[in-house]
Amino acid sequence: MLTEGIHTYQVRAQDGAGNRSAQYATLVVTVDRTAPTTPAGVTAAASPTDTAPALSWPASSDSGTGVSGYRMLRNGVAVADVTTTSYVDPAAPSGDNSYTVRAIDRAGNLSSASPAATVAVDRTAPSVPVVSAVEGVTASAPQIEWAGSTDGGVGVDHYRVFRDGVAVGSPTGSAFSDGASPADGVHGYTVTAVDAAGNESSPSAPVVITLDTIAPAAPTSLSATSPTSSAPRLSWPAATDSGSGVAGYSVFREGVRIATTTVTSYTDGSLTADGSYTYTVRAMDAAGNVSPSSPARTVSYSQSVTQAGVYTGVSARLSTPNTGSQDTNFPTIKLLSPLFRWADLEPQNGLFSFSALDADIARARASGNRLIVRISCGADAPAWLYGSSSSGGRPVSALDLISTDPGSISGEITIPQPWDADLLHHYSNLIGALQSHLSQFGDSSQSWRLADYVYFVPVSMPTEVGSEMPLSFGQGTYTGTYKGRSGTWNVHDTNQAEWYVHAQGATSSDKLSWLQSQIGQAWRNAVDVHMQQLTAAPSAVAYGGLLGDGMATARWIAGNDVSRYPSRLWSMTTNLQPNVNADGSLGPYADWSSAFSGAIKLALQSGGVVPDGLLAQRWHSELPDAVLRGGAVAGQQLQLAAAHRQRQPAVAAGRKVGRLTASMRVTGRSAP
Amino acid sequence: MGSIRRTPPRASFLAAVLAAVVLVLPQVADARVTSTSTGASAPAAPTGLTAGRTPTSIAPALSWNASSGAIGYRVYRNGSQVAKVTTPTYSDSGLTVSGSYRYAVRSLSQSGLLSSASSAVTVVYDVIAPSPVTGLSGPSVTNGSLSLQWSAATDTGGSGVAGYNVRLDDVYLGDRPPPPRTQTPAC
Repeated sequence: MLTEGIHTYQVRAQDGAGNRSAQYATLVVTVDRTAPTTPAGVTAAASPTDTAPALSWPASSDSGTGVSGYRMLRNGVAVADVTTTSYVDPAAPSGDNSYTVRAIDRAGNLSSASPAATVAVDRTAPSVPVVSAVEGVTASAPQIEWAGSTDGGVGVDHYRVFRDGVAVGSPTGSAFSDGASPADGVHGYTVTAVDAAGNESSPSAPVVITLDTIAPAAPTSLSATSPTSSAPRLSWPAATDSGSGVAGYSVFREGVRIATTTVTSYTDGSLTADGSYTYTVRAMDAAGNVSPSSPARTVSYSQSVTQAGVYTGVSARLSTPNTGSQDTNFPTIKLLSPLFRWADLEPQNGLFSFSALDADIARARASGNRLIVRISCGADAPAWLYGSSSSGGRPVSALDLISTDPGSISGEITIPQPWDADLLHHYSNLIGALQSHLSQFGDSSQSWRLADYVYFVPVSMPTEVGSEMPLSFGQGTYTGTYKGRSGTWNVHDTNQAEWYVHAQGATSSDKLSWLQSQIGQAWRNAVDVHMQQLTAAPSAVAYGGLLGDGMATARWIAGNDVSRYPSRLWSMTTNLQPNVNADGSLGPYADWSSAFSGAIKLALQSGGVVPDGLLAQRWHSELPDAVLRGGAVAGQQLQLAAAHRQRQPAVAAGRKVGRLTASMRVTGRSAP
Repeated sequence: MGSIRRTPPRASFLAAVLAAVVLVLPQVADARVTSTSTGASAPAAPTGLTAGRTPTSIAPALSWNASSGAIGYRVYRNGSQVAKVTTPTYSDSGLTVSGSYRYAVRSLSQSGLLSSASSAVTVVYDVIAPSPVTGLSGPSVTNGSLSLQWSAATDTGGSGVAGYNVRLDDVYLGDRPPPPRTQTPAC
């Protein structure tokens, strides 16, 4: 073995005769068996990376012939020999790559492998974020959020948010608030996802956010009647907004916001005490900017009236009677008017069930209240009425009605007719059984009062579903068939009277040409049939739907029927289904019911008469008088205003359950 | 070249192998022999003539078997007598020029008759050194075995290059025959 160091080789030729070349040829060889020092370690410029890994290491030294270069190894396999102390590996596969390096000296000695550096290579971009705006219109920093992206490689590191194409943020979460105060206007936001290796996804679909920091102008004025005895009704001119547009208004009373509305008026039905109230209104735009206050408006409010002679009450009904929001402990209401379905009281022919009614009576007595019991026998009349076997051989002929009315009646319903003799037979049986049952509760000396706590006003006319006998229906087309006769109505004064007329043989064109008075006369004929058939029981007639053209019909009732049938209890009911505002206050119908109550009070006080030929719009000035014309009423004290006010929570509760309605009832008794 | 092999040391001497050159000597005419055809008979020609090493760079050393009855011998180089000797040996120190020389001897009887010529031997006389080795190459640095290469030397003296002397650090390693010229010295 040659020792390490410098050695000299010499060669000369010799011929066959032994002669040798005159000189030697000389070659100097350096022998080096000592490896260079091991590189201290490999350093990666970046990991993870989306490009070729760049590696470097400190130089090695060699005591012998000196370092000539380095051998790069990827995952243990040599990939290149280099003379520098760095290397870029363009062929690195995706995933984790472990790099080591060995130094080489001029003699070819290799050092041991250096400590490794691991470089994660990821050339795949994350998925594209799906972005949504938190608010499409905003008054403050626009905010967006997005579903997190996924990355098949090293994982999402952060996102980049662009406003109108300009990067504005690099959040690591999946939401961003652009607090850089962009200018008012419409801005488009996109988001990209960036993984830890630097791969960036394509931009998301843009979301558009309108930034509006300019508040609307304040409403320039505020109007309301003062003094007033009804709920103050405020109105104001529309405000203007240069940005996203006026979206609504907030109403303030004594500086406290009591309501928001999208229209330029508001009725404050929430007052419970007389006094002076100051209102202001502020406009809001779609971005939530609020204007300064409008000029203030002070309203003097006083509505307390005590009057004798008329009962008012609240009736609340659900699809299942006597449950839910029907509040028999209502503090200031002395008459409650539950509505029962016939089918609930008499589920089978001759089989009666009065337990629910008994429970109501017990609750009313416990709280010192009285009941006005009403029974509906309209479209929700028991099915057994129409079967010859289930009705004891007396099936009822019904009107099959198909309606296109988009309101309360829609589709096909079946309604028994008031003049139907078989109906009157079954109904008389029900009333007789009820009268017998109620007699147990005490004094029934007055014919219309079955017991001390129960007043009986059967809904004696068939009606639509769940309602008392309507004096008008809504708009729409009605096609009815009764006992083989059919006809079509396309008028808004369709009512039970028309069906009666139809049954008498009139054609639809006839009805269309009839005057209001003729319709009323027809109606009265129907009432006659009913009243005369039910004389055996202390019955009365309940009317409902005092709206629209029904008001004119009511005039006929008031002017004729009440006086023609003395000693009967009349029930005039109008549905109170006011618009309920977002804050629970009542909308326009609250005004209407207030006017209704006020008209009753006026009539009670003046003892006025019913003029002939009044327009329907003036019905409220004649109806109370009509009630009174029947004679004396029971001497009960009434706090009408209190009743009006306290009704409102019941209305609000009714809105929640959807099928609850409230009605105000004015009940009088005609003179004997 | 390029073959780096680790090999065991080789101490054996590799002798040169030379091909013998056989020359055919022409018959030497001797007037004295041909003129004495009566009286005593001519002695027999000497046998066993050898010339020592050939090729050679020193005086060829001839020797042959003694002939009975001979009183002397005549030595011929390329047909010309170059020496008279009484013993059956002769060293031809008269050569100065490298070349191929043919030798034969005759014996001289007491009666003065020369024998016919012995069988001839040829000697290659070479006093010209081969050309120096050129083109010696090999790694300047190594961590193991190495190979040396050089160009073939030439020899004009007639004997041809028989091998090469290799030294490492002034120590003689041995000779290497001409072909092949790439060798791996022990180291």
